[in-house]
Amino acid sequence: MKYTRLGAFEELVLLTIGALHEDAYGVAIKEEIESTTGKKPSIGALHSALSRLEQKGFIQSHEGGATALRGGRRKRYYLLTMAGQEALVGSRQLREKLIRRIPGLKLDIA
Amino acid sequence: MKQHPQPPRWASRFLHWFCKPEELDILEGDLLELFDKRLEQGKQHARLHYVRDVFSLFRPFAIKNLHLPLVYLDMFQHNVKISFRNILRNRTHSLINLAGLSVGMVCATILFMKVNYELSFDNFQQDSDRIFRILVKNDLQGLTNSGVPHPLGEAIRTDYPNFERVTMVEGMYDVLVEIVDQPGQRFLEEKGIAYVEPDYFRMFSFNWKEGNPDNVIDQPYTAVISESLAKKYFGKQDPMGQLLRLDNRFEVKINGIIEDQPQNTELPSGLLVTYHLGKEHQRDVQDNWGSVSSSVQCFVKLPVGLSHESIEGESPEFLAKYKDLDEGETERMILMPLREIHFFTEGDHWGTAPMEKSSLWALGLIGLFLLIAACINFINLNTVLVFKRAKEVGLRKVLGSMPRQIVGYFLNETALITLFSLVLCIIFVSPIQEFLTYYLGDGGEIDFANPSLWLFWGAAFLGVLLLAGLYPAFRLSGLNPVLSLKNKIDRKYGKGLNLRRSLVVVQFAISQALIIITLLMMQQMEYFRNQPLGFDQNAIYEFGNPIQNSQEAERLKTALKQIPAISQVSLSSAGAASGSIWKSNFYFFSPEQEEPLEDFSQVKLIDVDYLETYGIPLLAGENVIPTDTVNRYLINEKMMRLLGYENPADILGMELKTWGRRAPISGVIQDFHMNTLHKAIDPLILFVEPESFYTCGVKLNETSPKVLGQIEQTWSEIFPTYYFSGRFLDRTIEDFYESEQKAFELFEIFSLIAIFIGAIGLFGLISFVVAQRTKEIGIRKVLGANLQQIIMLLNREFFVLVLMGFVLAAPLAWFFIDQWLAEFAFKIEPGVMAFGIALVASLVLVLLIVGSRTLRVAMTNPVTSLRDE
Repeated sequence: MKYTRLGAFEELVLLTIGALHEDAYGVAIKEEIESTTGKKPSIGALHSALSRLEQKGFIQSHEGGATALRGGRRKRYYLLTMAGQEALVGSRQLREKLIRRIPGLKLDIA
Repeated sequence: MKQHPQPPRWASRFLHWFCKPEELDILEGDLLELFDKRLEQGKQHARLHYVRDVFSLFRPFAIKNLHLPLVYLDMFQHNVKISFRNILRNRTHSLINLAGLSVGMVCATILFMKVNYELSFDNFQQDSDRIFRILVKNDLQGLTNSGVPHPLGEAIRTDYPNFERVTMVEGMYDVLVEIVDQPGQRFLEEKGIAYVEPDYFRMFSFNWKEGNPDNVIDQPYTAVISESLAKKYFGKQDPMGQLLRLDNRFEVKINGIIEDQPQNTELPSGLLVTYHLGKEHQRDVQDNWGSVSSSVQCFVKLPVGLSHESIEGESPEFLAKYKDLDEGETERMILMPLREIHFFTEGDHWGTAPMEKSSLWALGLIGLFLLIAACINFINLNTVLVFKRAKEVGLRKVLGSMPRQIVGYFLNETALITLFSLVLCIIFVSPIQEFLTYYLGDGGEIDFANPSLWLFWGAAFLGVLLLAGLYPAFRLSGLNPVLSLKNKIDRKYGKGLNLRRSLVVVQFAISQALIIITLLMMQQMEYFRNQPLGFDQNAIYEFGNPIQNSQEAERLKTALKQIPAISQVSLSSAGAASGSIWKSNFYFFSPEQEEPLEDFSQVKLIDVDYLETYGIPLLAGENVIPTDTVNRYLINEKMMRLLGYENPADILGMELKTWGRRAPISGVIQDFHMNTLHKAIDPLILFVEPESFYTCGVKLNETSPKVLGQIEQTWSEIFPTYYFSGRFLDRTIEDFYESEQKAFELFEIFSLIAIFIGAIGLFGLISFVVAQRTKEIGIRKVLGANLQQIIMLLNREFFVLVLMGFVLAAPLAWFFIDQWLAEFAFKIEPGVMAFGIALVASLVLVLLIVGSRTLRVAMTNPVTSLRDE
């Protein structure tokens, strides 16, 4: 399999998009990341990661209807592609392979 | 209808300008959604974050193709490249500019932040322009101890019902706090505790965690506590409803919690207790108009449109109604604006260090000087570079550059260097600031989230760019292309007093003025340290005496005398030198006059061992004797002279009356400095009064930690429910001059830096001049000049400039130091010495720099220097 680089932050964004199912758009992703990790990514960093992920083919986007809430601006929703899911699985497998080789590390994460 | 808040227009416009059209809708939607959500935390917060977000989007993925004409971009790239090459080629030159500018910027930034902090006091309080602190001024005595009488608040409420808010505040020092639920948990709070009235919470801005500002301390014995103090006392427990015992006197219940106030406030906000307590704990003089304490203050908030001058104008009648004033005596109120209090150094600040405005401006001025010194270096070095760059400019002109473009090109280069120094400044400023914190005091930290810091940097960048870059740029753009290409630029460029020379003079003036001022300050500090104080300040250890009556006093004294290292013990109202100063009026019954003479003096309440312990000599008569009722007085020489006597023996036996008791003068003591050396020695009366013994001083034979431990242990056995806190007298005295000492050291540091910047600039300039005159020197040598003559030839010009700088610097420094010294009652006479040293030091510096650069050239074989062409 061709190795496509998936940065740590990109991976986090990718996971969040997956976890949000249908509701993954800019602000929702940002808030989800804030509530799960406590980190506060800037909106610029987030969108820049989103555009990179889309270029790599890990996600695809479609535009949703405008709401009054956002001053009438449209939302762009993101969905995981097959390639995106594979990338997540791949990165997890790699990680587990290496973790198992660390002597004395317990793996009982609930 | 109120308009819905909008994000800053300029930020939106910027977004529209750079953003790709296909991304704009989505991104702006996200920003607006976030903006609306953040509105809950305040409009300013939301706007600030919006701007931050817009800038965070300024990234390649979102930026559209900006259609700048290609030629500008190419030219710009080309110019940057050439500038870089030039910067690298003239390495010494660039390094000097860079070092000077970055050092200048670091200093200016640090000083700016400090000044900015000091000016920001209480600016976060809502309606701060309508809040005033009241001072009462007596036409005879001046400010009455800068406090106000206790009943003033109530009287104002009665007579001025239109005032929006009125609150009395009494700030407390060294309060002993005990947590009732955890007996034995005791804390000594130096500051931050105050008695306040309910209006305090409605007048000033607090963020409430618990409790309601409208009724939080309506009940007696209730209090509001700050978050950090609550955490210190109760840890993770809920502070609400907890009881605290204050000074072993009474308990208060916590009824509210506030967030910690910012650092830049004059108002106490640690533990705020109801001002009015039950009868049995009423503080001294609730209804007493005659007595004031500096820690009791009154704050008022005026209604919109009422000027404080009009209140001040009618205040004498108001006060006359309540106060018992003598015939012809008037008192008036002064309403000091809330934001001015920080600069009012005479008042009580409840533990916050006030700031003299003049020192603040001095700091700001030094910062500006440092930046200017760096800019002068820049201008000087760049104008002499004219020769090196002449050909380049000529060629550019021949190839069609307009003068305007050449100005732009050189400004561009200046901008590069300035930007680079700014980056260095941003990297290094924070650690350097931390390093200087000891001298700078609290506040003024480099907080990168502070917008005024970035504004300052922006302004400094533009200022330096224009100040340093504009003149050399125009100078170079004005060169005649034909002459410059033929290498015929006037080599004698700069005869007479041209701009470059005037700038060098300015720089010499700054350096010399700073040297003179630093030296004179040093002398004054030295004088302070060596001035005999008139008493023994060594190995005297002082601590509190919490219970004031004669039995307890005897018990403490007897116990302390058991410790072999203690040679003397004395109880008194205050040690020989102390921040606690008591004043009183007195009557003197002169045998010659029928009417007694009335005047004011300091009083100290002492026991028999006071003179012995503090080593104060008795000039005539006898010491006081142990007693409970005043039966004799001691006075100092100043007092004796005030009463019209020259010989101590003559005044013995005459009668004085103070504190309501009449008794004879039994002795005269030698004058000693009971005040700091800022103030003259006051007339002083000393007498026995065990009810007012607040301080215990012991003279030690040995000052080991073991002895101090023994003292603390003995003390704690006698007063198990109190908190021991002691310090050495010489340390207390040192603290009196702490602020001067720090100001002086700060001044010293920045003077050195200014001199350093001046010196490296001079170095660069001289290097260049010497290089220019290599050939001339060669010819002179061939014609028979010797080494000395050549060195003097080059020195002469700079010596003249140093002298001119001195002529400017001397009066400037004199003026400044005169102002500074005016604050001290005991001071040096500024001598010629400092001025002489400054002049000689500058001459030597010039000689060294010129000498080191010239020597090599002067020693080279003229053949080498002349052959080159």
